[in-house]
Amino acid sequence: MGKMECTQWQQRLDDYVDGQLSAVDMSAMQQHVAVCPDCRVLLEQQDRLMQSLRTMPVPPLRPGFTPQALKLAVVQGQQRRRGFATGFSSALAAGVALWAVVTFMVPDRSLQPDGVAQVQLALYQESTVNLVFYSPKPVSSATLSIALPDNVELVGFPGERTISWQTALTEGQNVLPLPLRASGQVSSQLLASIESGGSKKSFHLQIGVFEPGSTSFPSPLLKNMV
Amino acid sequence: MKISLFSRSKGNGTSFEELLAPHVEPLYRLAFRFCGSQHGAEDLVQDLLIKLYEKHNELLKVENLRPWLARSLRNHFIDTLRQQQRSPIEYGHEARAEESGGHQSDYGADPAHRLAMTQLQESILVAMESLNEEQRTLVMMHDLESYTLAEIAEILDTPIGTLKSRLHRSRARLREILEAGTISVGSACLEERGE
Ligand SMILES: [Zn+2]
Repeated sequence: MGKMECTQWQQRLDDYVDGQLSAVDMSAMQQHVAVCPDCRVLLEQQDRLMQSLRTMPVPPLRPGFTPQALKLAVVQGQQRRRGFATGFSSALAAGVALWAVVTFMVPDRSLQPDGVAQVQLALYQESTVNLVFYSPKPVSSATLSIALPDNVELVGFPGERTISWQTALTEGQNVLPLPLRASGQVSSQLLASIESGGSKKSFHLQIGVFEPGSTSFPSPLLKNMV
Repeated sequence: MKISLFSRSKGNGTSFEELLAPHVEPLYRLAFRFCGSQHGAEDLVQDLLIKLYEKHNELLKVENLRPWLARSLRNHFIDTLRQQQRSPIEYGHEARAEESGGHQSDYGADPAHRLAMTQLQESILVAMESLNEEQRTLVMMHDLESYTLAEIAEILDTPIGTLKSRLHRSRARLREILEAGTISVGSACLEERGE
């Protein structure tokens, strides 16, 4: 077998295993290895190597890792941003001065802007919490995001922990009613944020949960009612 | 104005989680190739995701996230490795990492994972230790994780032509080592240094 020809084909072993040979070259190469033991051995070695490389095992990703890892990233990121926003509030004010307050369905529970807002939810019952976003001017596109704690669900969005909306804002008050339902009697935090034109405002809402009535309710029944 | 809860457009997939969810597993696989342990790979990916959250807006503008994220992961891995090497407690790792050209592998630390490998695959992993860092990274990305040469060119900032000849030499080297049946770490690295 001509040494030149062998060198030529051996240079193309990678193209062969990577599927980069034209049909014509492919059949020419096959014809060559059929009659050239040296090249045939190399090709077999290359095939074996590639087969093993391409099927090199990886331990499977732990079930649940993806949503957990993403949620942790969101929660930590928001906490960091909140810390940043309080330290550099003047820098933020230079942008679109978005801010938000929380009002509960009961009017006298309306809350102060900024700082920690707090609401109480009755266990297993749907309650509407109004997030009020103020904008000094109309905004064509803003992103609202809500990150829910484990024990609170947004009614109509079962199983979703982080929910984002693109929305327009009018000048002044924009109300986002959130129908919330608590499934566990722990206190927790909901993170809400609004972002527009490079300006972002995040705040958290402390959620307490109480059991309605003085005696304990048969909870499965209540669950089915709502 | 009252904002409707149900007015959100689900289609544009703009939330951080929606954007990155499809990429977590490929990143984990690549991270496992880099560090060789399941736990280490999970940590790498988690840390990267936390860093990426700050860049959410930038991510939305990236046309092809796959190579972009792989590049971020690799940079993050290298940073982590440097930090570990600076730490005096990790002296054992440092010595080892230098020996193998900056690569620190825990392959074989996980017995269950080892069981799933053929004998040839085990030999290949050992043989890969004698490639230099550039060659090993390329083989991992291209042959183990199926990144295209175009993607790798973007990830490693290296022309495709260079990658092609590097890949050719890396595979030839692996074949040689495997066929010889013996592995001599010292000479292999020196020989393959020239591009
Ligand atoms: Zn030949």
